[in-house]
Amino acid sequence: MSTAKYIIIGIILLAVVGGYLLWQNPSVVQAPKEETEVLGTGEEAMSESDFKITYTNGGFSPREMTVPAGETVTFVNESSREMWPASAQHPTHTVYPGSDIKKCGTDEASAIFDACSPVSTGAVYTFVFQEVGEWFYHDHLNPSAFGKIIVQ
Amino acid sequence: MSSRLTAARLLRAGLAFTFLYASWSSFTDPASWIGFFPRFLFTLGIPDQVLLAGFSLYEVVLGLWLLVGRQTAFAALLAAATLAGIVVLNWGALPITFRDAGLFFAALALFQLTKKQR
Repeated sequence: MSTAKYIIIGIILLAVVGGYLLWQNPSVVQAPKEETEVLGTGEEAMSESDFKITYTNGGFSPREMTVPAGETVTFVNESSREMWPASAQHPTHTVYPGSDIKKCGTDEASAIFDACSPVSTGAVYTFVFQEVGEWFYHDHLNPSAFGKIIVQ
Repeated sequence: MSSRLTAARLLRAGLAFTFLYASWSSFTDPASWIGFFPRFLFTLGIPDQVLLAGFSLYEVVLGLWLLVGRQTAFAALLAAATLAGIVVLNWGALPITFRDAGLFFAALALFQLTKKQR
């Protein structure tokens, strides 16, 4: 078989299988208006926010969310496995300003967009977005699951 | 030294480095690699550590095989299949695995250079 045929077959195989998988994936949900939950006071109110992203076995939902600068976004793990939300890019997490997986375990860990450790099923991770911009994030334990926060 | 031989050696070195580095990194930073395994494997109850260790061992063997240079065409085909599997099974992570797509074609090129001519 000629080299050209190998290359063409390889490209076709990648495109067909990849296209099929892409077609099966849920589409990006555009910036939703999250319903505001009426919460209690004290710790419960502080642990939740108006901007909630749910993580299931299908990934993050919504995958794209717009928030004002200074708002808290809550990532809720409703999947059957642990999650680890963090700034792009896998595995260094350095895209969001100041973030870096190397800072996990240091005094700066709480200030970076990185859960820094697995978040169990039913638990949440919250982060306050101060930097204006479009910030991709992913699940460090499943990099195929990703989303975007638009901070205005 | 023929240019074909040089090209094959460079491809062997590059692909071997990739597999050996991935193997080493999955030992030192398992959390960054566990997510690349297909989801259905987790439903089989295989511990994450076993998955990582098993695949790391496979990568070491493949990397060393490429370095040794015996029956390289078979090693190249196996490398191509492995890389294609990584790309296809992690299609949602294409912004990360696009490099593996390039390496897939590099492995095919190595196969083409080293297969026995009919």
